[in-house]
Amino acid sequence: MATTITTIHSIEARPGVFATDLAPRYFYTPDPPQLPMNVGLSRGTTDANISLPSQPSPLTNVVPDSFRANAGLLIRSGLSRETIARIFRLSDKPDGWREPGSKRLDASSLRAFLTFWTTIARQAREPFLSLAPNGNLIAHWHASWRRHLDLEFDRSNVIYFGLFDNRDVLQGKAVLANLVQTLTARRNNPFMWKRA
Amino acid sequence: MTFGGKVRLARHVDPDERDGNYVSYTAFSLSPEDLKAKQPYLSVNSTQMEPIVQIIEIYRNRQQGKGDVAVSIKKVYDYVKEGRSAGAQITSRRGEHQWIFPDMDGNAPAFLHRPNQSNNSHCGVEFLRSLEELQQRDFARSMARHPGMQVSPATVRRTARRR
Repeated sequence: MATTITTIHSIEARPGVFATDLAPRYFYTPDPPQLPMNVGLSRGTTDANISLPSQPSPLTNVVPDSFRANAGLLIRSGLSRETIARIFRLSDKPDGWREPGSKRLDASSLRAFLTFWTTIARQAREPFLSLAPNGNLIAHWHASWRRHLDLEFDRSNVIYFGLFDNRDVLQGKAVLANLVQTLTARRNNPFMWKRA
Repeated sequence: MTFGGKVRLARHVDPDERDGNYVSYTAFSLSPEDLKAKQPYLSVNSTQMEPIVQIIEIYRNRQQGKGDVAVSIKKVYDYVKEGRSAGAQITSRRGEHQWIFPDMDGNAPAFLHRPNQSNNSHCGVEFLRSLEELQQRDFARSMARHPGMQVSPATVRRTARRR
């Protein structure tokens, strides 16, 4: 099976403008689990999805760390409500979620995915997201059993990729810019693949 | 315990690792804790030692009874084939139904029965530790492309028969 290793260059980390503890207060949080009954969801609401609490809300305590750390990027990502809910669900999985030793979602892996998404969003369908036992986020585009792309966003800003396009198989690791350029230049853009 | 090519091995697929019939390759990945171990292996259950119904119950407990239980059932031969494709040097000992691979201390069994208190059919796919990081991902992707998945519903639906 062919394995392609693309040259790795460092890419600049882009901290989110709102990537602070304040962000969750201004951000819609999908279905927070087990919220205490006596806690109001919003105070001084000005919009259906925006709440402006006057005091720190206990709600922030139930937002997973990786989700809270990337709130600013999530706001600007343009991802659908379903995908954000999916990210919340994956962020909420504790250490040991699969087997002893499997790790929770790493905040820098989520950041790497969101950075990637902002560069590709206009020419891509939203992927199916899953979590790796090492805490990395993985994006999948399935067209069929024979046509499939997956990208694993490592905390070190390396992306592990696997592309199956009928007989054409590419697997390896690369950095964001190289990978996007290579894959979008293909005759059929795998980022647009969706299940039939 | 033998591992003939037709022996079936079951691997639990977490609900968040599948999208309909598609399975994320992480379902066949080693966890960081596994990799730290002296002899890392991929946990599977042999259907030769325990009926699949009982294995599903073990997985259902792992999921704390929540949701459908998905199991990937593949033959030993499938593991060997994809392992070889990824770069593992697996050879068979004729007549012994045993597969071996070159390990740190000479040849080692590629599959090993590793029973524990709650899981008598627990086995390890051992040859994964002979693969490099990228090769392990290649192997996992190949396995996930044809997962041979069986889903056991969370609740058994009873349909009323009309007379």
